[in-house]
Amino acid sequence: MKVENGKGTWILVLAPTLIFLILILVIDSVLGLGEVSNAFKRFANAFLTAYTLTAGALFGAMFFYADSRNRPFAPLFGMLAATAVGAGMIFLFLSQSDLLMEQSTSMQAQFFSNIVHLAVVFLALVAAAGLLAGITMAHITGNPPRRLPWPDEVDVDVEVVVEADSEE
Amino acid sequence: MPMGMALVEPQQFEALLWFWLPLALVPLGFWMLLSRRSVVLRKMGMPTAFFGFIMLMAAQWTVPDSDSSASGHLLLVVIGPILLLAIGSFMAIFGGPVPVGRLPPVARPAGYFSIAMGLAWLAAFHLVQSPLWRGEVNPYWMVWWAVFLLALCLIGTSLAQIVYLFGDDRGRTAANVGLFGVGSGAVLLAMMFNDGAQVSAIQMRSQIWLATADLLGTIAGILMAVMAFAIVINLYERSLAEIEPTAPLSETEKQRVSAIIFDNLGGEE
Repeated sequence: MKVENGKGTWILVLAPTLIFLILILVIDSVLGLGEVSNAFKRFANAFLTAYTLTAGALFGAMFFYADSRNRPFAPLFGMLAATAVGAGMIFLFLSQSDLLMEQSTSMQAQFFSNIVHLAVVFLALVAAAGLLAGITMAHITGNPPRRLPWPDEVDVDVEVVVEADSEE
Repeated sequence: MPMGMALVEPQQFEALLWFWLPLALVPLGFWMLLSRRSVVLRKMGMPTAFFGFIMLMAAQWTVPDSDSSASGHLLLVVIGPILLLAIGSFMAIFGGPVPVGRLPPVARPAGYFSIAMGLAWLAAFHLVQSPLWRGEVNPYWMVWWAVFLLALCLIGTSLAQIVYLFGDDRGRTAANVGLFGVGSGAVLLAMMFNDGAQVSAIQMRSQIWLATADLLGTIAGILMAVMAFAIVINLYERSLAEIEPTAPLSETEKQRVSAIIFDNLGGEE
């Protein structure tokens, strides 16, 4: 099946993921969840930490971009500001009593705990994505397509028909 | 004690030196690998990241009092199965009929066997003996395991859909990848119903719920940062003045170009 790239296609791509996610969560909640009162805090901490650290890493990547553009300051400053917004929001929310505090006793401890937590989640994510990419590639390389993506080169005998010139 | 040192507790300083510094060395090493300016810097990248990994795995002995060392313990525990999965994938890919770097045919089944062993090793951590840290199940192990299975299920089903929609005559590959994703979902469901060796079913259900929050938060955060990066570059590129068209070639330049073309065409004949 071949489809054109478009918005509808991406809905089709994401549909199984969303269906499975909802299915798992529904079954999970029907069976009984136990202690999950920190779920929103976990989401918010993961979001803010992932945003800030990725923006910081992309700020580093901006130096490579700046090298190819006569070292302008504007994009560097823009990305630094984007990183600072994330860091500021983390500081703001963690300092608001227990808004985003999980089991940690201090703001500093929660901040470092978030980073370690993110590293663990990222490792799991990369391991899963890497394994799936490996399995997919192994299937693709192991099963070459039955027909070639280009037309077969066949020597075609060209029949030359010489029409007799009426004037000759 | 110097003034600067008094600001940091000795335990915090130890954690900084033996855990956080090695943790920072890992991304720094990968960043150095990407450097184009200095060959020395690029060559130092891999040893730096490797040293960081080793020191992180040793954190449970170097800074046993730090709670963060549980993540170093986790890394040490899962590095074996992850290496098996990585080596297995490599062998399965290059054991097939690839045009370059082809391995002997036996590499392909050996690769799949290695992947199966890696997955069995991970399953054994749940069913036989969970990784213990300070006498209890390592809290990061439960996070890692739940996120890993959830990611396998969700990414697997989407990847199957991508292969099916965009691939040419790849229905069988899509079915296999999709089955792998659905299988991971089935394992996840089985863990919701049945107790593991040290992790109960209700603990696992909580972890799956929290892993969903972790996964969605992490992906959303990364996407937001990438979007901010794209917006910054887009704004800067749009602010640049339009490049003026260059002047046409002069007669001298045309003659020079013709001479260069003439010198490089035609060969020895």
